[in-house]
Amino acid sequence: MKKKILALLLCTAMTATALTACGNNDGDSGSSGTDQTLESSPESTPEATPETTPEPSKEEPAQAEELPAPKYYYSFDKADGTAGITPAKKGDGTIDPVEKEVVFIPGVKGEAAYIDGTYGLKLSEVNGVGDTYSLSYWMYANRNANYMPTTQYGPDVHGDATGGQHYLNITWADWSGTSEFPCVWSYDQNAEGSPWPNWYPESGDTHLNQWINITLVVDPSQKAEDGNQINATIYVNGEAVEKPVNIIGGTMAPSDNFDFLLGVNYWDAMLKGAFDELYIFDTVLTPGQVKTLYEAGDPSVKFDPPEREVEVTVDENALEAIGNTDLNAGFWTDWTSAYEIPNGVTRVFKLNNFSSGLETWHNYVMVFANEASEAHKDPNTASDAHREWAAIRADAYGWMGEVNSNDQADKFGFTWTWGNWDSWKTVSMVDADVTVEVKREDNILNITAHNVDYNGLDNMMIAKVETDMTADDPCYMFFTCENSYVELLSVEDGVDVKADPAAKETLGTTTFGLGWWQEFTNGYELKEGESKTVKLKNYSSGAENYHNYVVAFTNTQTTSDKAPSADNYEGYAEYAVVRADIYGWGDASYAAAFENSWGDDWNAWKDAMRDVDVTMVITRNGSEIVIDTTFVDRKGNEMTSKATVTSTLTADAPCYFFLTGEQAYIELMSVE
Amino acid sequence: MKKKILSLLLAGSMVLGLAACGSNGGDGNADGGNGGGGDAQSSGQGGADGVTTEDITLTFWHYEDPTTVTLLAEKFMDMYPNITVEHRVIEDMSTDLSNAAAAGTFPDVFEGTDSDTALANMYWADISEYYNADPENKNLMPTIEEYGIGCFDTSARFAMPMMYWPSAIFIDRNVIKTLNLEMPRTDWTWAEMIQLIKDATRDERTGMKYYGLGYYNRLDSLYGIAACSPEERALKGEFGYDGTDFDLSYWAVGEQEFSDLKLAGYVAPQQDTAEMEAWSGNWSTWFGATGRVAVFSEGFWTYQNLWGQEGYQEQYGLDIVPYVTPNVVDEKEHNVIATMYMGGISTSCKHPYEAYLLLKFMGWGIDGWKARLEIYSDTSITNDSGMPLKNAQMPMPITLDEEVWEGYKALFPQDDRKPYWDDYFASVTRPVPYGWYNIAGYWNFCDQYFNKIGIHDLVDKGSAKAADYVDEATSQANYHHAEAMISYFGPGGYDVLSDEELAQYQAVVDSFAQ
Repeated sequence: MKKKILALLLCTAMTATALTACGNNDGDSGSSGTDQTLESSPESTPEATPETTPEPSKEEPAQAEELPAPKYYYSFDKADGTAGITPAKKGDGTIDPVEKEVVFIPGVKGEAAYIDGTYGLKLSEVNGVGDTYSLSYWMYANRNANYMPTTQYGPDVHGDATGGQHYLNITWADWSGTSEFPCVWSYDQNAEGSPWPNWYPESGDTHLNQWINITLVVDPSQKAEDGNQINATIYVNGEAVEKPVNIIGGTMAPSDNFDFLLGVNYWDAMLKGAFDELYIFDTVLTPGQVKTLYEAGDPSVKFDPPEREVEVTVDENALEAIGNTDLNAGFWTDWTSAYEIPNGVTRVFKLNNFSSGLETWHNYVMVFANEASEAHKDPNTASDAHREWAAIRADAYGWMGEVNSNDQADKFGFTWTWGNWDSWKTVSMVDADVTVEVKREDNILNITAHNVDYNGLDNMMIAKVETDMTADDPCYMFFTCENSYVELLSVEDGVDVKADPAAKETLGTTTFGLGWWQEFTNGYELKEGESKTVKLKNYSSGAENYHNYVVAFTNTQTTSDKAPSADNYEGYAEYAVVRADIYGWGDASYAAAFENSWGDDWNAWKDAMRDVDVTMVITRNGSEIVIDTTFVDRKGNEMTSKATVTSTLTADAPCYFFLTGEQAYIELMSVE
Repeated sequence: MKKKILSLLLAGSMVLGLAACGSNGGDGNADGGNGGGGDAQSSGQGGADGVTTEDITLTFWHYEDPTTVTLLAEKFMDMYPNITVEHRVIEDMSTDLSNAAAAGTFPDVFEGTDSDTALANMYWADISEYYNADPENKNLMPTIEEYGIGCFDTSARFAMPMMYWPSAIFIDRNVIKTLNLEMPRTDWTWAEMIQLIKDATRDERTGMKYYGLGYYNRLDSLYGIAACSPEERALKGEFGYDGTDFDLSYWAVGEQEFSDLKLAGYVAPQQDTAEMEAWSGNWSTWFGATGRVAVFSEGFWTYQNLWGQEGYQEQYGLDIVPYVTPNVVDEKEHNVIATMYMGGISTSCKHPYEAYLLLKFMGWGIDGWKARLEIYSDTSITNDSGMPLKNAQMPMPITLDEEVWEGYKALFPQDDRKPYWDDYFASVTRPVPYGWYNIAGYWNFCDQYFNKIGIHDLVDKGSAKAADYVDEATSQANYHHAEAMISYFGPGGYDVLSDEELAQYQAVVDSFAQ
């Protein structure tokens, strides 16, 4: 079933207080000396800048001219199909396709491709056309942020193929002191001096919420003052910006690793808006031809984003489901099984919540009772001794018998992070991924609900409920709902990820935001014949085998402040890299043998790795490195593994190791 | 490796000896010119006022609005016609200065966003003689002298605050009125501020809620200075720094309180976030223009650069007045945390006395401020963005000269908001700079420990409690400070520490190593 929702209600109706982009404030940037961006210069508001009368043009206006044949052209008209247009979002150092159809809306000519801020578009058939080129496109942006890309392209945008990033990004930046568009940032990390010329128009205009035509014309014969970089020309709505655009060469060099991205890149916030009429030529367009491109579009076309379409999908792997996909089941008509909430234990429930979006209470409800009950049967009829301790709604409202949270708020201790109930109800909760953590401390129920919406926004609700139960009373929890469809995906013991101040070094964050090859411990020497005992704590989401720590063996002592690579350490080379899930790779002579105590029960191992104390005894003998590992999980269960690795390492060669990881939080406690 | 610039070139060109410069021989050089500085009066062919009569050029690198500095430079050159002033804005302190040192184009006078960079590389010269001999410096905000701001806990002076912006709390009177609350007294306490933030957070379960607080400066930064009475601990820097060592237990209270406010929904979303889009409907909204936030923990410049612009508050339905950052104890005259860009004379400067005059003129000097007031008062003078210069990063005087203050206060509202401004100005005469301006090794601590662990994020997300870090962080802070003091000011640096001081710092380093 599909359900239309006025997703963009907010963008229009809720901005009555003239909430235009302004402000100099950078959030934490003035904090306790602990942010690098200490002193971003105070800005001025663009709207306060007096308009100046433009000087009369000394040149005749360009006349529209016929266009050459483009190398690539995307009309973004539905009739022209979607071949080579891939909805994609940023991953951890990747651009990942998403299962979305290209969405078309009215554009400046025919239709345009709409993106909703959760993904961009990768034009997967586009490759570089050489240093002589012209790029033109129309766009409409609802959002802007520093370095948020409109187009970003290059032969090695992320540096995966060459070890150095090489791209051009047409973006927003506040290099002039105020956010403006179009700013042009090109970068060639492998070139001498790793140049990254940054150009800004000094217009003070973000060009938000308007159709705008951008054309970049690159003639490599027009050298910049340094003799290497190129003076390109950028046109806004057919008019050249007089200030030359300084860019590095090679951003359109053909490559097997070429990326051409719209509204998304590997690092920054994603654009919300639309693209239309994108051309790439391998020629230098004349001003007249640029004018033709501009005049071919109609910027007065109303930007009409689609109503958000929420599809209530059924997850066949869900443990249980309540409500119905028509989202019209009344309150107290369906229930999950009841799950025990023992005293002192944290239980984690994962849900899909689909709501009608009509009322704040059209969502899941948590009910705590004194006895177990079966799914789809009224818990009130479970027994004569049935007693309800508390009922807590997703919208931070609850009751305990005759007491409700409006009348006695202090008994419920509700707090919530969202600031707008309309958007919470109609945008976030209509399709939310929910994680509920419940921890019982005697009569107190500590509840934290993370309601993550399609935008990735975590709407968190916390409750601290003082019930009438005693520490000895049994407590069970089940879900019910109203005008919603709720799937219970999993019920697990909670992991209390808590940073340990005694850690020697840490990798990642307690929310597991560790990208691959992003953070490293210092390197530790491993001498010939030596054994070292490494103790660490590994916290992981448990989602994938490889979302854990990794140990790498190298010929060079590295430090945590620089990525281990030949660029940063002369002569750097890796003997071997061994993951926690007994998988590895290495140099030309790499070979490995692995043993483990958990056999094929990877689910048990992944669960253990969510919170595990790891002791590795690493022994070096000649070309062989042996890693004997003991894992003790949060329940006290022990597992072991052994990795025996050979490589080009010889007895007289230097050897060091460091830790890295992925999607985990790792605390190195000791190396002895 | 330290990038020592040619500090000693100037020594030979100076007429008089440098024995009274507060230090000598950082490099162990016999000519004793390390640390720069000349004698208190001249550095060349001196006139009657001690200023050279030669035609010279001084270069000034800074962070100010360039139009303002161009006009100030003209005024300075009017006073000293034989001195030409060239200036530019620094884009990146470390890069620009190291490049200049390598190229032999180091500026004579420059400002810094942090002091570690300048001290570690011995970029700043000792200006003690000039400063101490200057009677005008007796009438500055008292903490400059009391806390040795610019001396970095040594007996010598290497820098002076050039641009001063005290922290400020702003309140939107319209929001207070809408929520039917009372405006607090202007000499309020910390607890009163927190209570107002809570009272002004209103959520009627429909549409946009009202938030009690919008922040640029984290409250823990403010709390760190306001945490206790001087009798309990004489705080003169962030993280409980008292001039000798740190005690992060004070910081931890403020950090936790702030994080708890954030987690409990009292703090407005930041600009360019999904949270802001969900709240306001617009990704790029700034909370300060919503009319739905009561209290702002802002940089002082936010008023001048935004709220103070003509028509701005009317456009957004605001009525903004300033409040002093309150103290935890109900003390009427107390310290406030402040942004204080430090400036100094480079060790390569060939005309240090004239450079001192320029430094003072551009920073805290009365002549310079009178020149500034002329410029700021004329709103027809605008910068490249068309902004009147008083709305373009105008700092606050640190001189207490009455005439200067009379002119300065006249640049702010004279209507019914004037009493708030008067009280505010009266309450910000005891600035304490953020740590990176005035505590050696502060950045190293942040970079190598505090930020590396990501303590703010961990506490803000509820993953950890600030108190968990107090002991370790205190130890780390003390170590990095002591290590920097030895490095910057010991025999391998400026060499201005006594044997006793050296031994004390070394003991901290040794203790940490164990």
